[in-house]
Amino acid sequence: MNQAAKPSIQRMLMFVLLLNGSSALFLTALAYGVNDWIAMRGAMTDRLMSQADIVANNSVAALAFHDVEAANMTLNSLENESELVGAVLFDVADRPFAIYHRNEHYALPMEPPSDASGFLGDQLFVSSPVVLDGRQVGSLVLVSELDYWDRQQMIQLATVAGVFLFSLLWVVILAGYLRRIMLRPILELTATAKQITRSGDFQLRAEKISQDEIGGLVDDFNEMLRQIQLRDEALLKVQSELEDKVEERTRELTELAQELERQAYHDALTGLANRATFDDHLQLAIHQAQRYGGELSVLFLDLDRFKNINDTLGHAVGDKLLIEASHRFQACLRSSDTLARLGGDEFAVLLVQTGSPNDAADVARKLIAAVNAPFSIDGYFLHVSASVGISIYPSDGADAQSILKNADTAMYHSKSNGRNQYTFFTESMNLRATRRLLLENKLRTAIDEKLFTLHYQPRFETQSKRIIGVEALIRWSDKEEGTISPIELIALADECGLITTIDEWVLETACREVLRWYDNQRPPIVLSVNLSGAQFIRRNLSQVIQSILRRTGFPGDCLELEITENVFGPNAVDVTAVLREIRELGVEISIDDFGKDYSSLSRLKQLPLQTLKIDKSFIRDIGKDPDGEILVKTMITMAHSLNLRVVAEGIEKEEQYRFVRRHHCDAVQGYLLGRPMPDTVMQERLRQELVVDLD
Amino acid sequence: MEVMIGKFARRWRRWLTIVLTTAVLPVFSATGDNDAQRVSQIKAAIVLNVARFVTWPSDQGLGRDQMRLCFYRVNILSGAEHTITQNPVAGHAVDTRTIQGIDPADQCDVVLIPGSQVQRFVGESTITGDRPFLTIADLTAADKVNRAYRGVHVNLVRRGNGVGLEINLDDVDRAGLRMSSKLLKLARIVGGDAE
Repeated sequence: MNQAAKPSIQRMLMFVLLLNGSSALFLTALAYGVNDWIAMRGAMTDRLMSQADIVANNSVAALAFHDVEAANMTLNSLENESELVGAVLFDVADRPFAIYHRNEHYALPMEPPSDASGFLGDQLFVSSPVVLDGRQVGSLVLVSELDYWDRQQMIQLATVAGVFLFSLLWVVILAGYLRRIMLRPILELTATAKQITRSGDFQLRAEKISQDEIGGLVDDFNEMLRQIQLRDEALLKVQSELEDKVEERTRELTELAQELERQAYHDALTGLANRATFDDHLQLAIHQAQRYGGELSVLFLDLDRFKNINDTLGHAVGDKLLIEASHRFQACLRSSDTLARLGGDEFAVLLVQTGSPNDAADVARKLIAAVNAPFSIDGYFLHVSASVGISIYPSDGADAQSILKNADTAMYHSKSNGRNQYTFFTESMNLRATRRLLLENKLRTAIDEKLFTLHYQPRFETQSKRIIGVEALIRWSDKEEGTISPIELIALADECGLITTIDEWVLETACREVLRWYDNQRPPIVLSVNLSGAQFIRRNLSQVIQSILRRTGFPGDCLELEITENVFGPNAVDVTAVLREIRELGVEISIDDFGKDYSSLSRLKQLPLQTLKIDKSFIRDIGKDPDGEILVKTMITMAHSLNLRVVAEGIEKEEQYRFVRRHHCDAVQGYLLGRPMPDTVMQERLRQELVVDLD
Repeated sequence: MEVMIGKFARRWRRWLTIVLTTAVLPVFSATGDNDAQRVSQIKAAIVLNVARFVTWPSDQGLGRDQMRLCFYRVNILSGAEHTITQNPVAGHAVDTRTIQGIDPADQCDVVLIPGSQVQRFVGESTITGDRPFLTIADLTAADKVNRAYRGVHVNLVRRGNGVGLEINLDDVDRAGLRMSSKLLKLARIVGGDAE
């Protein structure tokens, strides 16, 4: 639609004004014309009637005295009335008395009409009575032609039409002028609105030209502009804020996408590469090695006893330990190497372009050394070790899966060999790994179904050879695997993180059985139970022991817990407080396998110990190695100087027994005097010994 | 006013022949009682019509409900009493009386004077002076009178086959009467030389 075809208020207003004006003029002209027509006819009739009355009045005497001549003279006086066609004077008997006839063309009535006025054909007539002294003595009829009246009407009509046209022209001019006056405020308002639309500047205001409704509209329009301006400003502000938020949100989404991408390829906790990334890198490295030759090494690394730390100190501490350890590991590696966290406490290192296996060994040593340094986390000084397995491509596997699996196997071999060391993969490891996996499953089943048994090895007072105590030793006999050695069982349980559960089972079971031997009376012997070093990481160890004593009713001062040196070694946590809490229960603490690992005499002095058990490896040297004998003698002397009782374990020969007795060892334990035996056998032996004593 | 009427009368002074239609003519040709009665009725109608164009002074004459038509010494309208009594003038019923002389006690409004009694009436009128009653003299026995008699206001004269009117406008004025110009247009004005 073009501009000319658009609805225009100007044209509409012009149309309305013209319509109103022309309608009013037309109606006025029409009313005037009709009124004039009626009035003219009425005037003509009235004039004719007046003439009739006059003539009738003038004719009354002629009629009264039957003076026809006089009557004719009176009627002839109408000859000056040009529109009159004729006149007829009737006597009292309604007979024509006198007639005036201007034109024979027109017919005159020969008897009085019944109406006072009317038409006779195209002529107008009026009838007037001739009255004398109140009595009608005749009547007069005047007949007039209508041509004159028609001409007057035409003249009047033309006049009205002329006035109408002139008035219409005046209305057009006046309407145009009024339109300009009336529309100027609106046009000004429209121009302002268009300018605002083009410029978007809501600070513009329309000029108030008139004080009428349009002026009010301008005020409202300006007020509306003010409101829009305020809203526009608020909208701009909101828009700015929204853009900022969108930008911030976009940045967050970008960061989130980057984070998700990073998480997809990295470990969320440590930020290291995850297993998928490690596998990709390993695959790529293998492909490159296949194409260009050369070797690559995979180091599988596992933190020793990390599960105990996680379980006892909480995941928060464990997570921080993993993060710190990952930092240390990363510091030991080249930028071309890949360090990944595979899950839990398992890490993997990909060393590309290794010149020889020695390079991998060097890295393994660095990693172990890095993790051996104490960790200070949340107030805990944690001593951690790591076991590392190494596999070499292509000698230890043809694909990534085999290389990684074999490194894992080698890592378990390191754990089996005492942890905190690295081991290169060999083919024979697979057999041991398979057995280990089998035993782990069986161990979990045995724990759940309590398939363990306890054997008791007696401890003798050296001089009298009297049984003064028993050491509870766990035994596990599987239907398929047969009897599994305690060493393998303990190592496996330790690796699987099940050692604490087993320890508690052993402690509680031994307490119950020994009490049963004595009919729940106070036993005259000391029950010794081995306690894993992993137990000391938990802070509530004394509560656990107290709970067991309470449940079983076993007296604390008849219980001795054997711990190994590594519990309080240089890399161990501080167990002094825990030992003191245990000691407060009456429970005695003994050092088992003393001399086997690193021992600090100053530490021994600080600990609340009562007994020291010399490792059987030293006892075995008696009679063979003089230096070994000196060590045993020194140990006994040293222990006594620390007010510790000394127990020589592993006494299998009489010579060994005599040596320790000669050097005042307090107690002995070994196959020479008594092997580990089931509880019933042990109970019977104790009963027999009691009988002998009584005898 | 009288001057104006006089000028009007002189201007329009002319003889108007009053054609008394065909009904008048038999007055003079008819014979027998019926004709005489019919002439009397026409004369009565003329007399009454003349009376209808006359206005009496408000303080004299016609102060009553009835108009009185007096016959001076002779009733010349015998047999036309019915016409007279059945046609009131100016709303007044008309009664008749025959008088022997001019006597105010008779309370006449119109005095009809036979032609034979005109001289006697003139003589008596000279003595009594002008009175406010209309006097009509029946002079239809003569073709043309064209003269005014002292005290006689209207002369009924013969005009061809009709009856003409002569009006002594001066005496009418002296009597205090007023005559319509319509009547004057039909009549011949006489006077000034009244005997």
